Amino acid sequence: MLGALVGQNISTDPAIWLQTFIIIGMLTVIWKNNPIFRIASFTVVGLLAANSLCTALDTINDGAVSLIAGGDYVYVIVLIVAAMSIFRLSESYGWVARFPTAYILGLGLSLAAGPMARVLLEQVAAQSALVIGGSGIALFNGLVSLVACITTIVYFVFTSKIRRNPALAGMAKIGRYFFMIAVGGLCGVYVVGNFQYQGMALEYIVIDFLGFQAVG
Amino acid sequence: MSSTRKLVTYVNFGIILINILGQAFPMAFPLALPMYVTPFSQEFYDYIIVASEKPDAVAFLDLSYSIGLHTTTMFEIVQFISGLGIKWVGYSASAAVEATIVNMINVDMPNWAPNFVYGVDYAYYGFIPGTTDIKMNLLANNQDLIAADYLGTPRGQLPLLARVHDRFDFDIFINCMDGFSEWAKWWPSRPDAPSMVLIRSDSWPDFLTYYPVTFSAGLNAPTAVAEFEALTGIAGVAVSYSDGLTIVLYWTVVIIIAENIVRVLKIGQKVEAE
Repeated sequence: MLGALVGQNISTDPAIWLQTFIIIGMLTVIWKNNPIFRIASFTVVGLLAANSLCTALDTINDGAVSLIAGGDYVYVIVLIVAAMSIFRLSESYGWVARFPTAYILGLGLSLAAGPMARVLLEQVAAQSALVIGGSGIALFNGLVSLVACITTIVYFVFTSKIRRNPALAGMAKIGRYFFMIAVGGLCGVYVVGNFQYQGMALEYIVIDFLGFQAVG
Repeated sequence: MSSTRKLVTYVNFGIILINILGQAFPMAFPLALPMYVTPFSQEFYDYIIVASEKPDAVAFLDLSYSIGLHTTTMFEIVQFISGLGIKWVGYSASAAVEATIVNMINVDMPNWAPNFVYGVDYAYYGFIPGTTDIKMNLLANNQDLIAADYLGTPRGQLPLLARVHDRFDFDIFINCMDGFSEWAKWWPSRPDAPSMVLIRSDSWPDFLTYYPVTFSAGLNAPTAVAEFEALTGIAGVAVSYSDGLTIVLYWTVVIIIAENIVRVLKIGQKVEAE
């Protein structure tokens, strides 16, 4: 029955076949490292590099070259700054690349600093409101967050005087437990996230390649 | 390689194989496991419904997911809001999904919203490289900086793009991209204009640090997407996808318990010593 189902709907698109070959090739590594896995992984790395190069060239063309060709000569500066970045590959003149990097970082940070402060303050205010004006489960959650936050900060304060204070040492211990719970939770989330990627790969095989119409 | 070591290799391979098959099988043959709509998914759905009740509502969409279920869901959201009559302006930070979005505009949109006209009811800026600065410009007064749509048509010739100048001209913001925190900086808290996120489940803890002030609602893929599909009635793949994920998670719990039993009973200690 399975064979008949697959045979009827299997894709005839060469791109889907290539995609499936690469996914299955990648999955073969769960048995052991083998030539099919290496072909699949090298193909992906090569394709990604080629795609990135084409996108970068397109971006340079759209963002500078075509504008300069149209008479907007101020964009020559963009090309010069972009060219300076390439000096990173040189041992002797690598310092030249620091200027565009510093400019980009400085611009990004200065743009982000103001709005981020607003976002953080608003979020802190909202969390505080849960504790101050909340009730029931919201109040309980807010209090747990507050205790977790304060005790975890105490745990990461390494001043020896604080460590010798029994009350603060107790708080640090509680903070350690909260920290361990948080890290455990993040590990669990990471595992689920990887299952999601596995699901995406299987989706390409089961739905795109084998042609199952998996509508729940 | 000793026979015990070989056995461990076979067991490991078997565990992963069952994991893969357990996730693949429900995609082909949906199990229709019971589903509970969480308040988060309900909230996400409700905000869209409320926005659709505003006359002439316009949504801003970041359409940047380029693989798998997230891309499919992104298009389901477009289908749903277009069907409700919400106009939209889209942008993408991913070159990889550009062709798929253009295909959606040309092929799917006429079916999803037959009365919608490109340029009047929806418009797409296209793929724009860049990060923070681009996001700021997209939501600032950006008439000069982003002067045309994805086809190069000047925005003055597209009535929808001619009337949206900055973030205050949008009634709802739906963000379908990994780096959603970048948007947090530029979308101010506006009770009248909710900002919502389609999230990978491993980014859910990050999202919660912005909820509910900066981002009003979030859809945690794939399980919440299945709930969203159930609420909207759109027949997508997320339900069977979630069934597979459920099976895999139960299998993981079994493996964790088995692993601990093995550790406690010290089975395989000899193998580790080899």
